[in-house]
Amino acid sequence: MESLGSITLFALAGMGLVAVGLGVGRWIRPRTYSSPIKFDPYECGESPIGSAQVQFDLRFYIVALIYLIFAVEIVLFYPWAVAYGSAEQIVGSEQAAFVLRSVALVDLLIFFGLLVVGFAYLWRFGYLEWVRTLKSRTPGSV
Amino acid sequence: MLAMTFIDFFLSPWIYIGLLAFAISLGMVAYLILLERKVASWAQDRVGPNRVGFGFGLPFMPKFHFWGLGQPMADGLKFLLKEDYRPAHVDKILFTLAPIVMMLTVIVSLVVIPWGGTKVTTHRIDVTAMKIAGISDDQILETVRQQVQNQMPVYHSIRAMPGGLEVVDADRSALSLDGQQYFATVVTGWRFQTTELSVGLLFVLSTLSLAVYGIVVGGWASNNKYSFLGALRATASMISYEIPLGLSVLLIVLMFGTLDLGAIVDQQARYWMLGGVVPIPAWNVFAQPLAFVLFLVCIHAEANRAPFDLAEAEQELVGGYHTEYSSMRFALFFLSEYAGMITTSCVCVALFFGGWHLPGLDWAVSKITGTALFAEHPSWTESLLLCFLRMGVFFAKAIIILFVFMWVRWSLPRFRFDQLMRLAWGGVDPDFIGDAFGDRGPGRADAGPNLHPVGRSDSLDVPRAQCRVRNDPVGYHGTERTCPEHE
Repeated sequence: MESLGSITLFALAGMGLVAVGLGVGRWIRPRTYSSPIKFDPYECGESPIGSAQVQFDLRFYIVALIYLIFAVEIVLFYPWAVAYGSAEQIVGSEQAAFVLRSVALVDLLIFFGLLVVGFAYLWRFGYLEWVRTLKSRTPGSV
Repeated sequence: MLAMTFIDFFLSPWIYIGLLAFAISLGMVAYLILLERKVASWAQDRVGPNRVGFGFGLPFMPKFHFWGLGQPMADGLKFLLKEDYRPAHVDKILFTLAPIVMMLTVIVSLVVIPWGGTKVTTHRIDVTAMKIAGISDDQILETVRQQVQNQMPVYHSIRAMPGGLEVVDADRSALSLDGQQYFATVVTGWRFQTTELSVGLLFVLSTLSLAVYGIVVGGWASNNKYSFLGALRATASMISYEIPLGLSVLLIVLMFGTLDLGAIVDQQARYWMLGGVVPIPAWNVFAQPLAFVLFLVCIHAEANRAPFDLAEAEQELVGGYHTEYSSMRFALFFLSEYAGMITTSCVCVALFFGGWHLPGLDWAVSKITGTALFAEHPSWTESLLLCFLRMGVFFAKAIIILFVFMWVRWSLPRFRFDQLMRLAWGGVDPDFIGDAFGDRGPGRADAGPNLHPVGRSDSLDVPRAQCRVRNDPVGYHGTERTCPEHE
């Protein structure tokens, strides 16, 4: 409860700061004539051709996909790490903690092993290469 | 705890600590920009900004320059007075929303930083009467604990914990069975922290990753090719470096078995005996130097700072994702970059440099003010002064990390984008995971680490000039695009 309150309060303080910044500026800044040129996209004086919101490079998409998988992996790591680090508090005795830790470690290695296989696949087939030549995309060619 | 009222909430010290931290951080943001310019000028053998004092040319104001310390105020004033135009081609709502989102996320992530240990109050209660009545010690302590908890304000009694029964020789021998007087000590306290969140570390990491929305939305809404490219680059680099960031933090979580930043700092406020003689503080940087280095690299990438500042590479992308921004909206982006640096430095200090812990400080303060030290709980202190001093120590450590940020920025050249991505996925990640498969596998002789400035582009068979398509935004990504993959 309190933590939610403090976080909300902090967010409100931040919003207040932003509102003051944007609002006060609007209030006190001199009203000047703005040239219509200023409302064009800034592309170093060239007239822009087409919209900028185009289809972008597939490589960014692949990075996002890989990120998703590994981010989820890390999110799943955290509760595991907390349980592993505080095993003694969870089960009480040192011996039981050792057993719990061993089991947890094996579990995690299996989970992690699956992801490492995926990572090896990505590596081998060149998805982690930003600059990809035809050669590096065909794994058969040595 | 659930019965906490509105008034209780505003009486609790957490809010004031939060506002104090908020104010200090904002002040630090302003002066960090000055420090950045000063560090740049030292690195480049210049003097740097030293003209703006606090007079601003007004009458009756001091004419002295104050070594340029008025610069942040002049800058802020300039941001307020600059023309605030919004180009015609932008997405109006998202364009304004993006810097706000960015600012809010970095501010909110400050709440879980533990600034100064636990402020405790020791209650010493005469329990001789209960002892005479023949109540067992455990029961006495439990009763006393309840009693103290009911007396204290809600925020205070959350961690009321029994200290123990203390036997005191008393003159009033008639009071007790064996001519002694009994006291129970109960310790209550509150963390010197804005909010005690058991998943604090996860909270910081998740809110900091929300900052990427500010960048990507800003770049997209600007509808400008430079902005869009900058946003794409920033997104790719930030999310790529979040993986090793999470992994390096994972080591600390494994060591301590908690995600509570306060508890992590508390456990570093101890000493290791080097060779049984020399005490060194039990900071994680000594236990996990590799994790610290990875963390430092990753927070540079997260903050989009040099050498990872591909997102706003001036020579290529004008300003990157904030090319179309001006005035206060630009200032929000600019300030949130620095505020983000402060937050990540604070997390770094809490995780690796023992947070508020400074060897000797607790001892010195307890000597001067006469307050007790708690040997078993080094984070506990009865002195509010010590809490504030610890906060100062925390910020001092954070400033050292921030100085490293600037030092690095003015020392190292920028990476190329393919080098950046390769370092994330092919360097930092496998380094951490324990590199089972070498990066020069069979048939991949051309795919080794390539972090030296001369790229592989020289050896590619296709001339680069052929694949420059006019106004093709993706053509800017690397200097080494090759035609075959484009078709």
